[in-house]
Amino acid sequence: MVGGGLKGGRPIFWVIGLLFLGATAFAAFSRMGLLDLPRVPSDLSVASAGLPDMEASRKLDDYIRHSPNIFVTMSSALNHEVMKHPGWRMRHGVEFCRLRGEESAMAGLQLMREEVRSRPSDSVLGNSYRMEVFRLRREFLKSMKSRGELTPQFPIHLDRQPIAFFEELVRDHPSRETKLQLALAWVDEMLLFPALEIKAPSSVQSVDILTELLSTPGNEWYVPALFARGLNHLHRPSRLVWPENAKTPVNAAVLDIAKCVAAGRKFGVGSERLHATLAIALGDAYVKAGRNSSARSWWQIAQNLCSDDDLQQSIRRRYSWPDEQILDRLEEELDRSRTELDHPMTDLALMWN
Amino acid sequence: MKENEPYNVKGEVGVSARESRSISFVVPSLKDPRIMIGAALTLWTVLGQTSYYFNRDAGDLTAAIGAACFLDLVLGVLLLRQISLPLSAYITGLSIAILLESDDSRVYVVAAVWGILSKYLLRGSRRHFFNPSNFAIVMALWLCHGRASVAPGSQWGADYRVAAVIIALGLLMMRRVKRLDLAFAWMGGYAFMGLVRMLLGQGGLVFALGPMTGAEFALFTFSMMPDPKASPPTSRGRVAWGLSIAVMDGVLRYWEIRYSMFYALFLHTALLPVLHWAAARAGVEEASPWRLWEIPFGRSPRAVALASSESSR
Repeated sequence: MVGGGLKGGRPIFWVIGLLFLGATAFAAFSRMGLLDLPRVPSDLSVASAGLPDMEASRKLDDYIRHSPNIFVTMSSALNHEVMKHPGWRMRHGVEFCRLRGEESAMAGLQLMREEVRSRPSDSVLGNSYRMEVFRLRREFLKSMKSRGELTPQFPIHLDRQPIAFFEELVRDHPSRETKLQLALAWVDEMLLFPALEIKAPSSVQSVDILTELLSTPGNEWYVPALFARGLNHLHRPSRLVWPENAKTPVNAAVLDIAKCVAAGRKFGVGSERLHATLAIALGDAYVKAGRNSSARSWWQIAQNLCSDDDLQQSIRRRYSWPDEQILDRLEEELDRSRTELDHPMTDLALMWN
Repeated sequence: MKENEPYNVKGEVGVSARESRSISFVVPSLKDPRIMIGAALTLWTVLGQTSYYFNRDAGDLTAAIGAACFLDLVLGVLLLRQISLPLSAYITGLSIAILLESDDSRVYVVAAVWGILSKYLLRGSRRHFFNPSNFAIVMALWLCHGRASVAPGSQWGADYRVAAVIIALGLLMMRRVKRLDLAFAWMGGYAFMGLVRMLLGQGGLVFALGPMTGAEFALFTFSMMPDPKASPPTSRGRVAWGLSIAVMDGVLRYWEIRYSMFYALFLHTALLPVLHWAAARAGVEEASPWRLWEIPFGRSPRAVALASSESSR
């Protein structure tokens, strides 16, 4: 017999076959949907998901962090044009902190705290303060290390910061935004002090705050908190046995990060890079849950979402992990990402940049 | 000179150069479907290097193609007394370079060597039965101590139009090599098993059927699986073969076994000599889709024999 064409066969079998395939497809799609993501409530708004005007957030963040040297305008101490801009104290605070000397740093942080207190629910302001304190604490630790100081004592303006400030803010303004900043401040602590005796309780503190926040009615889909808690679960060493392990399901990170991805898809907000980062994180979370093929599917989705070289490289690295080593290699990768302190993972600027 | 006629399943053709011990020069004619496959893979690689982000390292590409072509030339001269234009080896080398991922260039060379050696050394009924690219990739995955993996199957930048064009071109190629039935059976079986896996709770529709639009799947479906030397000779056999590979792939995927389709094809082709033997006993014959010119050295053009297609991929 020669040839490779499809012969006709009985039409009735083709019809039955197609009907069977169609019914299977319908049942399968009804069960799992397109991406096996949680169903987003129809009444969820952008605001309640914590994904407000990203462009405005990006502009404010740019104004605070990447402004030209404002000390030209500072020379006229009460320049009204500058003071009209929301966030001007924040910007001045950042500039003060970048000057040498403890006094200027103290003055800068004071200015920033005033700004945050004036608008406690503004995530950009809270995030800027947290990141500035993180930078100052990191520089201090580096300088102490270079001097051979084994038990460095933070100066008064950095001691217990930014946790102390956000604890106070949560007491005065117990909003979800202030609680989120407090939870992230605990993660910052964990990044600066990776020793297990600090990392573990910091992570537990952070997750407790976020869980309380997310269990409040109306906040179940608060995306920044979901992502923060998901990352917390993701970064916990899989083989470490601790009391909280019993409370945490193996797919805890998947549940939280999948909600973030679902909300992001519903509203279409955020950059391609943000979506790709979420997809990579969800893939990583699936590895922790033992579903390697789903993990690779999400990495592949990330590969299609953003062509930035560093993301492409990180996906290629993940693809090269053999199944038998995948969990260990992932944990090494996550350990590495926690040491990238120039751009700490707790920086919410990822959302709007 | 004369273009070869279809040959029977035993590969018995006129007076071959091998029999006369003189060396001949073998080149594919323009009608040879491998030219289309080679051109498609080349275009694919160029697009990958320029427009779509599945770019491969130029050194690895050169290593895989160079090793495959060089070895094919040498073995062709030593074993078949033929200097063949290494089109099949080029396709094998390029497929390996596109599909394999390793931080060690030696892996590409070793895989290419394994692929070409399988063509010359693992033979039944005068023909090879493993697809060289598939053999090379499976061996690299098994024997390179975790240094080799299959590259993430780019989805053409998630552009479904490109995927649609690739699938359409692929099906056209399948028609030319008379493997349309096999391609349809495999793709239909894959889709069905994907839906079954969904029903069993393994991911959404994008995960189940999305890979069908990717580079890895296209290479497998249109370059690796339809190899005429490594698939059954009858239409019914090919349909059953495609469905069987799809079922095995689906089960392996459900068990979270990576590289499932490469393993499924490998295991199937390992059994192919039995099928070929049964087909030969039943008197089933298949024409070779390869079209070759054979030009013996030192003999007049009149004495040119029909090519034996021994050097096909």
